[in-house]
Amino acid sequence: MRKVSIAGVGSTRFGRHDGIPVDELAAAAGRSAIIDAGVEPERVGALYLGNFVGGMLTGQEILAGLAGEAMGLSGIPCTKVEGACASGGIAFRHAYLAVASGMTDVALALGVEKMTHATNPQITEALNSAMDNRADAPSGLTFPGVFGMAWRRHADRYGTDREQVSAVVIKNKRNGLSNPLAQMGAELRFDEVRNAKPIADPLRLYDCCPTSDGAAAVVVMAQEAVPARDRAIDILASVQSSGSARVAGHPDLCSFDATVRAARQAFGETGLGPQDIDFVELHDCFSIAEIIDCEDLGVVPRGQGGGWAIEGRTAVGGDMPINPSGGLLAKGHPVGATGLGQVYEAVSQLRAEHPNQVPGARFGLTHNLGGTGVACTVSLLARPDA
Amino acid sequence: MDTSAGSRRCRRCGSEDLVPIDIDGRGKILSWTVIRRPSGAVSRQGPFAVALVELTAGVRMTANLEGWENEPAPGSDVVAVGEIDGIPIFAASDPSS
Ligand SMILES: [Zn+2]
Repeated sequence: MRKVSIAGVGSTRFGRHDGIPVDELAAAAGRSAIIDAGVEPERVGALYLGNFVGGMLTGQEILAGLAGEAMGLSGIPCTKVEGACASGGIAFRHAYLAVASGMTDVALALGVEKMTHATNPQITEALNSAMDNRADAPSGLTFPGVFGMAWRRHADRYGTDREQVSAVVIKNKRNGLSNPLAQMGAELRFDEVRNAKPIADPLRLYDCCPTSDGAAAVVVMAQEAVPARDRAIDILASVQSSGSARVAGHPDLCSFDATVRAARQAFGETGLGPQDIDFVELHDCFSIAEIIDCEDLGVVPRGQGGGWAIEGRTAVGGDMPINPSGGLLAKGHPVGATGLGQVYEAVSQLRAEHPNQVPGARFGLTHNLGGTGVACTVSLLARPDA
Repeated sequence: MDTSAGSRRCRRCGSEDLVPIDIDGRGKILSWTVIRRPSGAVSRQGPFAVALVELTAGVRMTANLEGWENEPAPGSDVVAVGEIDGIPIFAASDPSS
């Protein structure tokens, strides 16, 4: 396998994008990534696009081919991948593999979603297709409900309380305020988080990420072919794993074993450990998810995710900055684009160009989780001089 | 070649060697939630409760829960009291009965 770098990144703002077709939204991010990379579009040899609910909410499939055509990338293999909310991370990994294997020197990973035009029951129904239709969905369970159950379990086992969980919301919303790509940054107080309208107990409105439109893109390139090494970011590992698609299939709702497996493999491949990581962009689809994810990744000790959040240890200036971008909670969650949005944020950090810069960041970790932990990707990225 | 499509299989290992067992419908709540904003695919309006239940027989299942207004503690005893569309409904059981 060859060494692989990220040569360029692009992203639309996450939020509302009325009046622009979903394939055009994807192409907008793709074009800016190609310009950022400084490569001729003809050199792109493969395109992978992550999208989850495009068919259900926009009625438009074949998005990979449509986006490729819109960018003038004619004739190359254009492949759509789907792994629920991990679709973008999976697209990134496929682009990485296409280059690492020697199939092409340059590959484009794209992620896109358009959701805000639909009603909440329609969106919940579409997202519910990432649940097992035989075991879980007939009970009326929703994804906020899955994480509501996980919250109660975590509270029961580790004593995690609402103040600790709300600290995640307050931190991420505050980080989002200074990220120009974020959908809804805010300065929130504990009582505002606690008294927001209930969604799925104990989750309330601000514990849940918003519904978003958006697209993000990453140009992946063989290290030896990168034109400007000073702007390139190296991919040390890009791992994908799976877990149970059923709530009852998880040994413990306080943990998603797909995350544990992917992190272990990524660290194992690189010889790095959680102590080497300078910041993390992880899948906080709900407030409690950030607490579970950081423990599963091993960057925070098991059971202490809530404590670390309320003590400020996961803030930008803390021991382990988590979601300096604002995460899904503040930046938004256009599901198919999220995994690539995380890579975009990590690359900005490692180039020392992020609006919420972690000083001296050399190694970053991104984590994208789909469904009930059925699909997961973890990537380790590094500054070339790291 | 007989692909046996349509026959019932174990969802964990794929085995077709299934036998019915008698269970008494008793178990414990591992966790639960109240759905306030349902999916458009279900006809029921919120709020209603969904629980992850571990049966005494060892099987875990996602089910509906009655009596959630009493805030059942994790680990509390429940018993199946009915079903909606094949999904069991559980309610708190008196452990002495
Ligand atoms: Zn079996």
